[in-house]
Amino acid sequence: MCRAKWLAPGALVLGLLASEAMAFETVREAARGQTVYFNAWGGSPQINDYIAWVADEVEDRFDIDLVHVKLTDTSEAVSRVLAEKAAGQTTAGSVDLIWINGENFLAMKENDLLFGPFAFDLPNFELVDTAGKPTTLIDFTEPTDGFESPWGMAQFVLIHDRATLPEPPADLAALAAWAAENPGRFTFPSPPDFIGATFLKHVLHAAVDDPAILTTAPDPATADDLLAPVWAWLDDLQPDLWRGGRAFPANGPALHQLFEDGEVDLTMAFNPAEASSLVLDGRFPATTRSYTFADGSIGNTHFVAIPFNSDAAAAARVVADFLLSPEAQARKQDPQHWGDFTVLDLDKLEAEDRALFDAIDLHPATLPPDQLGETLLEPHAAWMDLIEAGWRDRYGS
Amino acid sequence: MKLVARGLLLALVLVPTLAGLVGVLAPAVGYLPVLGFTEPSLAPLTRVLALPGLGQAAAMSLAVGLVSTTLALLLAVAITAGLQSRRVSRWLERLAAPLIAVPHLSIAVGAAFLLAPSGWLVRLVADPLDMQTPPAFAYGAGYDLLVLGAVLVLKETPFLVAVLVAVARSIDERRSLALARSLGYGDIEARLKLLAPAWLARSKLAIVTVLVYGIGNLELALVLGPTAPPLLPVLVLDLMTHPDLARRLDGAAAALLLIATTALGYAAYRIGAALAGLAFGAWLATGPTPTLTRWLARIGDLATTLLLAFLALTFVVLALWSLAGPWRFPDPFPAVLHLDLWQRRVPDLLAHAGTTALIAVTTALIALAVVLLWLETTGRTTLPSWLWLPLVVPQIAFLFGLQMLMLVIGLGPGLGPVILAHLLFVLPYTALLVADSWADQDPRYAAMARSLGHGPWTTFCKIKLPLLKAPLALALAVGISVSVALYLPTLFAGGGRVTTLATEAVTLAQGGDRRLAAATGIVLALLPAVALLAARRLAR
Repeated sequence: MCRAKWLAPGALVLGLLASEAMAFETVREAARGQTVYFNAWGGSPQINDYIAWVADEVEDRFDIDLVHVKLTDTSEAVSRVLAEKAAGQTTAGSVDLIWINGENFLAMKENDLLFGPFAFDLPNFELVDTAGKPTTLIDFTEPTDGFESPWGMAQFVLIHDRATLPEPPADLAALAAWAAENPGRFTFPSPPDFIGATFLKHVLHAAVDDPAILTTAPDPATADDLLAPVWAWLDDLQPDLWRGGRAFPANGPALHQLFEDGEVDLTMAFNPAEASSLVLDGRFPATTRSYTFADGSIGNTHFVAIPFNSDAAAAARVVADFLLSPEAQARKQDPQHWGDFTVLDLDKLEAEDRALFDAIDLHPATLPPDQLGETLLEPHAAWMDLIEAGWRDRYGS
Repeated sequence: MKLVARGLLLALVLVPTLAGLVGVLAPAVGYLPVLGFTEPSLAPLTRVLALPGLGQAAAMSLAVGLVSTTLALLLAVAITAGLQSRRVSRWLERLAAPLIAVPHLSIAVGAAFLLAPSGWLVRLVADPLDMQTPPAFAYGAGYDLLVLGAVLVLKETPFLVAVLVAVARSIDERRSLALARSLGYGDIEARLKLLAPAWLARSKLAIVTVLVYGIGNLELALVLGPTAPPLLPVLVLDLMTHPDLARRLDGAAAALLLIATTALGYAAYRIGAALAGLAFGAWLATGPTPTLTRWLARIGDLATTLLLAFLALTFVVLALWSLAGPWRFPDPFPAVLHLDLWQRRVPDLLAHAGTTALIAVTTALIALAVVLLWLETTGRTTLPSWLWLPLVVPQIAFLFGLQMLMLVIGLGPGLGPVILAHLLFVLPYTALLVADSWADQDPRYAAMARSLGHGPWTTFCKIKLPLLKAPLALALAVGISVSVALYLPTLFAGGGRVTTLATEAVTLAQGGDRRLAAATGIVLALLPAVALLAARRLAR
């Protein structure tokens, strides 16, 4: 009797799992022969190569034709989906899968441009570390609600060359002091580029006493006072920036280029392994190292989502699921291929899958996860609008 | 048939351009139903006018367009006046065609590597000057504008020379020159004083095209332009692709401002030309000034030599970077040269080159067919002036609206729409090149063929086409060159799905792998060169 009591719910769970598996089996069946136009930022040859590998794999395994549409900016794809909606094109949209997070996701979700919810039904989703990595469920301050599937973890790091700058500035105060002594050797990409915006978010975090205030939209009555120290710090730094603060690099890769050329002593990335990739590529010197500021660093998750008018939603889901597989995630975390940290909980993995991650050789320029320090959460998007507008007003014109 | 030809030209050029303009105008005045904006309002314009940096962005775009066009025009006049008189100039004339064919983007990518504070020129002198780090001086947007302006002058001068030479040849200069010689004028001064005004009067369209490109082009502004604030076309793109979708309205309003800026630029050019005309009149009245003319010619030669040296260095630095191992400041040359990048990237580059060539050849062939059909069936050789509309309105100002139109008529992004979008820019050039030679052909050959009992089709294929082999081949090559270099039409009509060398070059040049950007810039420049060589072969 006792056993039977236990059996019933057990069987129910098993049955549910089986039916879920079967449900996804029908998705896989529908996906066969479909073409997925994967709209993803195409500025990094390494990431492009990784996506090419994914394309080969899903072709072999699932008979899916994955085409990488290389974007200069994710918002290009968002505006295309919007234009399609404007024209009443509710099927056969041009975008099937999109690499996305933050305000682009918010814009698509708010304008009903997304297919789903689909993420929680992906078989591999149960391996995601939703408890340890809450940003896999909350994108900036917006709940994903299953409209996007996590792909990788990002954390903001600074990059320096140990040979030329053995002791890089440990926090914002030290950075300002160091810049004053070494004018022209530091800069950041001009917002709204996301690397530059993230640097400003860190300045914002450091300027407020209670970061909790950043999780909701700013109150117009107090926002100016709260932002005053941000502008004060930036005003102080401005004349000591590269080119006297009269010009800024357009984006992260452009800043890397300045670092490679020796025009600046620090660069920054949203990926703890990016420096390693660049060292392995022969672009940065072998003495390159990564670090984070002492007060922590901004972290978030990047996702893939499916537009509402995709005709290949089945295949797009199969690809999203494959991107979450331990094999794909482990390859992605390997700095030889990309170096982007996994969204999975390694404790949930089978021993052989876990071994894939353990075998990854972390390059000395990569900061291991346990040395990344405290993760600072992304502020509400409205804060960023304020800061971007204020920055443009003060320094961008 | 006549109606078909006319309708085809209208449908391929005028309709899309006008529709594109309407598609931008409507959101600019607050009408974008999909986002729930149905009430016309001036709010978008007001918001855009209040954008920080807008005035500076517009002023910079205007300045760079006006100054580069003026310089290129002065140089082109000087070179054209000196042609046939000196050996350097003849050499230049031979170079003009390949120079026109080199895409702006290739030069822009190379120029960026050459002229940055850590660029090759500084690296070459870093060791003798004992520089360990690149010079860190506070130079503002002016420096970026200087580099951008130099690239524009370099690219537009040969184009204007080609136009002026074509015009000059259509004017009989012998009598004017003989008269001037008898009054003690040298040939160059005589051409400058007696003929140049006529050249310029007949080249207005080409000059406006250059001016509009200088003010409104996006790709050079992205690769070389300043960032804080950026040039006006970049500002338009930023707004039109902003994550906050309601900003599309502001983007459309900014596009209108870009059109207004271009119009302002044209007005400024006309005023400047009138003022220059006054000074010119004073010079005319002074009689022969051989010393001044000699100096002008020398300045022109010097500027030309500098530009050619700049161009050569641009391609050397592109080649060097595509072959370089680690190459850090202050090393004057990379320590290692290898073919790693080329070996790794050849499949990609070939694939992009293939797509680019497919689009370019198809577009050029269609354009040629449409133009020939129009010429043959309408019996006219004067082209309708609206044919130039796509060239005298900034691309970004109507392409966004065009993207909307394509969707409305159910044309998804892809190769087909890209070819249609390219036709907007290729057709005018093809028509211009073919119409002149068409008008020049001796009608007696065709009349004889017809009198011998051959039908119009046989006459067309057996008599007219072979007679025009050379100009037709050239028109094809120019069509291909124009198409290869197009960035924004490819991006918008291709929905990002169509990757050509031009889109790849812009993506890479904005950040990313400099070696790959260099290799892409080289292959991008090779395609038009091949087309031109093939055209010359065919013409023989």
